[in-house]
Amino acid sequence: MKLRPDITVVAQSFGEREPAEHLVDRFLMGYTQTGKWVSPGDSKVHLYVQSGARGEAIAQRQADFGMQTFDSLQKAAAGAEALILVPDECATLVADEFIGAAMDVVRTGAQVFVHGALASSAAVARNLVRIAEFRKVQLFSGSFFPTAPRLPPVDVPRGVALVETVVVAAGDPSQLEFRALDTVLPFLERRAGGESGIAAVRALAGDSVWRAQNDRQWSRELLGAALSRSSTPEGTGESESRPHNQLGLGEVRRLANDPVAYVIDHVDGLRTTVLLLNGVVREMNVATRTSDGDILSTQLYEQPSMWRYKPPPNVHQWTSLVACLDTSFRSRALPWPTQRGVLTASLLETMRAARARLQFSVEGPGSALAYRNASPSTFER
Amino acid sequence: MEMKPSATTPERYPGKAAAKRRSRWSRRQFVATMAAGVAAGGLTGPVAGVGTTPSVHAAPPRRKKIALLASIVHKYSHAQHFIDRFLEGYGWHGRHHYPQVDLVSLYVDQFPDGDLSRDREQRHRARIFPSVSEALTLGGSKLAVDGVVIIAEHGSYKVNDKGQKLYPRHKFFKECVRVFEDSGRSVPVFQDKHLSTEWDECVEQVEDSRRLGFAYLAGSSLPVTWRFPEVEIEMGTAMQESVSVCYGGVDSYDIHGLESAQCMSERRAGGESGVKSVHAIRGAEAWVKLEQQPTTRQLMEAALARSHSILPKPGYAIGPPTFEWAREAKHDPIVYFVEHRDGFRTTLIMLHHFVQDFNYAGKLQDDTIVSCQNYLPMPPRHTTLADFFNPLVNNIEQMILTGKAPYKVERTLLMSGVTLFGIESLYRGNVKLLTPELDVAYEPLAPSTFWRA
Repeated sequence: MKLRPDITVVAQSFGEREPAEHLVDRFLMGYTQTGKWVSPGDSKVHLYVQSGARGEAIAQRQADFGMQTFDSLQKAAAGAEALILVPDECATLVADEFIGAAMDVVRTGAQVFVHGALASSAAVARNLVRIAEFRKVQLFSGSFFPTAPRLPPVDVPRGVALVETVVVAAGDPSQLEFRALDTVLPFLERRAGGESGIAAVRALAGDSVWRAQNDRQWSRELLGAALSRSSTPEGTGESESRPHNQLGLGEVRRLANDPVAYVIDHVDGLRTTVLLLNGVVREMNVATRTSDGDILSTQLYEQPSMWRYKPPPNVHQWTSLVACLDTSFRSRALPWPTQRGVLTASLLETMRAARARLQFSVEGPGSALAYRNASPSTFER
Repeated sequence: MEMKPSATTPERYPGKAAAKRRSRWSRRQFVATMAAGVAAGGLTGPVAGVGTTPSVHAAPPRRKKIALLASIVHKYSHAQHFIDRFLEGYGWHGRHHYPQVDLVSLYVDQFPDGDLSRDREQRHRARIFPSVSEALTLGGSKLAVDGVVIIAEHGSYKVNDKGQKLYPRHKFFKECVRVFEDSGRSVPVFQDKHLSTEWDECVEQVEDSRRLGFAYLAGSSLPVTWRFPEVEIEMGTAMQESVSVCYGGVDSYDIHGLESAQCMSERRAGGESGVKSVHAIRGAEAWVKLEQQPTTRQLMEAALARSHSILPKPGYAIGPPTFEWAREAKHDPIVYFVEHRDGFRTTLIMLHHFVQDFNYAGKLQDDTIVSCQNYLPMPPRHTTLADFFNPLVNNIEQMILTGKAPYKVERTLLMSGVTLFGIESLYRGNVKLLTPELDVAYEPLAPSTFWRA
């Protein structure tokens, strides 16, 4: 295995069992990959935290592992060979400013991973990509969803034509759209022709979500396939741990808290429906139908999905992400294209616009953001 | 690899029960009675139509009926998970699957506050009967169901000096056998977890199933749940040792950890040979013995490397999967050292609070290490549903539909014995016990049965 470069984490905060800590601790101490412990070797970890909180935790890491800290974002980012940016928010102007400040000073030839959305809009994302290209920086973004284990461990066979996809999203309401896109795009970009771009997005809310399903604008069958993979149904699923047919018995509609559907039409005719269904389940599930009529469905493993309890230690999906980042940093090969982050940023912007004009179709970026991903699947197997 | 006939015979599990068993029915007598029943049109099962000319307007095949015998039914009890899956279905292969069998009767031993069985009876057609025999005969005089599911786990029962909770597993089973004998026919039986708290009773149950000729499936959900990653031991692979690292305690999760390992180990070259000795150790002494067994220690770390729940170092989000950290963090391990008759070794390492999942590592003869986590998404911390019961319920359903157990009960028989002798070993003060009783040799069925897409 090639040597890992020093890792620099630039975070807005360093909360207990929050993203920056999960990342830093694995790079400092080690992590498991394919049943083996990967130790950091001589690689150092550097940290800059904007908020300045949890000084004791940082001091402990300095003492135990020789972690080095910086007193300014610019100093940390400018010297980094492998840079991980961890904004507190996802796809907001505050996050844009934080990421932009680091990218302004990043050194030529560095690798930069942005945790979360690359940007809040297509324009900001494109600007970041221009900076990266100018400085020959390898830039990529995302969360643990593209790397997390799947139940079952399935993927879209490369080059297969897809007809329709449904992703059921649950979790932090402020990040639901991002979570959905980071879950589903790794599946979609493997289809025949790769990602073709977005023609239009329409947002629906409340009862219109279910009316659209009755009108066959999105597939009830795929929703059922996605929900059949869930281990966290709410309602009687939670009150009695009863594994009943949530969809067939009408419980989905009753349980959904402010349901929202984004009906996304891709340029090549694929339709993806993002269903925000907090109150129904607590994890991400996806189902897609191929042109042959086959349905592929899976759950994205996310521990813990019961976020009302105090987050436990470990949270394995972070291990999957760190293993992927480490492999990328060692090999200097991006695990997925920069364009996934650009499309995500653009889609988030389009979805916001669609949400502001419920029922109306909002034009997407079209084929300008088409891309192909020739890399192998990154989910943990 | 070509399957060999099972080498296991009743004579190969010598126990006190072998001498004292007083069965009213031999297999020959039982089969003769079954034949008479068929001739008299007394059977209601699928056998009843054998030899007759199908009608042009044949009715759809009758759905099979099952009875479930439970110790207690409350939220998160094992029986609740089984009952609700049979009554309401469960997620399976990308859709909500409704079982092709009907749960029509229940016997419930205890009804404390929080009982859910009466609610299930009201909402479904599963009637609660006051006795095991009535649950099996649906209140009549003869067996009236096509399968029996015995879930005697949880509930308020006496605990003996060894720490064993005296669930009525054997009692329920023998009452089923009595109904089978009285009815002149038998049906498939599933039994949850280890077979009983006495070895002789375990043996007697398996012998009963042979004598009366019914399919018998038992044990833990761990062998059939998801695996991270999806690994399987190829049949006939030469192996050195298996290690299971898990959480839980004695007489509860030990059987789960043991079956997690045994479902792998039994596929080794030569099949299962039986167990020569069991040495269980609680406390610091276990670390000393583990240190003396470098392969075991290596496999322990390989299994830990599959865990998603290792106790973090103080102040950190994670902890390393190392022997040293486990020893430093955990002062009261419980370890079962198991020697098989062919020289193979199994080690069960229970590290409660250090891990909260089930992890396996096995070393092949060529020194390759195979490892995985047997995924147990346990509510309410991680999930709302105990979905690891889905594949177990599906295997039961298949057994009842086909009349054949999808995997051999000898796995659970042997691991029940290891559990019982492990408990005995601890009770006697961490002493090694020779186990001539555990002469349970068998070849597993070749198909792999863990949960896949």
